[in-house]
Amino acid sequence: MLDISGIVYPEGRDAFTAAELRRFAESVNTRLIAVMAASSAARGADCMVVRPSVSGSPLSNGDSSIDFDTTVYATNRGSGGVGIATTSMRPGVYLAGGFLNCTTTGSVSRILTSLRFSEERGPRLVSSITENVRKLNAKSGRGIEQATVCGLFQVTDPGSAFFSVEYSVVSPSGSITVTTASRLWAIRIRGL
Amino acid sequence: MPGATTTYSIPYPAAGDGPCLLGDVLATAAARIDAVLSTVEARVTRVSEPECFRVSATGTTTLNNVITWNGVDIDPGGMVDLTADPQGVEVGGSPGVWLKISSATTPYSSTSGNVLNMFVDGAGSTVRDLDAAQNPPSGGVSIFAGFAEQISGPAGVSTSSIINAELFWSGTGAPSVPTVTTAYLAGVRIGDA
Repeated sequence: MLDISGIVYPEGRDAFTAAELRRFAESVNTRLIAVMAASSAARGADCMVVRPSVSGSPLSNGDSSIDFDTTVYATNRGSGGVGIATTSMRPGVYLAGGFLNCTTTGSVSRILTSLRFSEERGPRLVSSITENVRKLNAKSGRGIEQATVCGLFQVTDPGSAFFSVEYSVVSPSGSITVTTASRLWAIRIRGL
Repeated sequence: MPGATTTYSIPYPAAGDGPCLLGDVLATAAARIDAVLSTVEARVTRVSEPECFRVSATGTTTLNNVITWNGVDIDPGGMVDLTADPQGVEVGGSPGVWLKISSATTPYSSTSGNVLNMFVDGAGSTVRDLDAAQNPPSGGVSIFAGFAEQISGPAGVSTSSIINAELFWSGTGAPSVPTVTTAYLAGVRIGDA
């Protein structure tokens, strides 16, 4: 029998017995099983989308984290009420993002949105932050505004990794209310 | 005379083929099956392990020009070479549709009429994504830009296969110290062209 990457077949005018033809068929079958398994793994990316359960109280100047404590969609979600904890996820490279959906009252000039990723690596805590300033027109009673942010992060220890969205408001005299339409999301795009 | 399947030309013996021909047919069939499966395996690997990178910058950069990067954060495929080009990442070796993201935080501030802008693009590309902060507040500003673009490559053929980011200032009163507190540029190949 000869072999091409696991596919075996009878050689020359060797007897083409039922047993040898069966080995040929089974070797093709084994190769197909491996391909199908890899295909299924590629299709099943870890993905999570979470949102606040209730609209927040009006907030003005200062920093704040947002409770993204309701799951919109998740193939796999860890514990944690203020973001996405990756306890039950696989290590890998993650694309993550979020946006604030809010209503404004009074004069709000800017919202600074931050996507924070933190992870304990040995004795130290590493943190990556992407930020976006959303400038708002200072109009009283302005309607819904959104501020979006997105980044690429490397999760090496899912047990200590965490995604969250934070924000600060630059507001001379107004305030914002974060709504349940806000989102925080993360998707695993590949292994390390 | 052996037959063959329509789509992938996998041969099979026909009635009346002799024993000598059977050996050749089976050998050819095994080779064809291996070739087809190898192609499928390569595609699956590309889907499950897409090319991606993230580089970062701290310190100074040249305002009104592309950002110079000094750190490699994520590079599982080894495609980043900041020694050869500290201002961009050549992705032409993996043509396709790329998602590009960049963010920068600077201490620039202004009170009237000035805008700090960010481009994420390929050099020479006409497709750009722009974010702007008008009248950046005291203490600095962060801006963010991202979009997806088809990059044809291959490497070295087109300058548009280099992903980079630019910061520039429009209006008067640009700061004299061109500093970036933190900045990053990321790319993910999300599909075939």
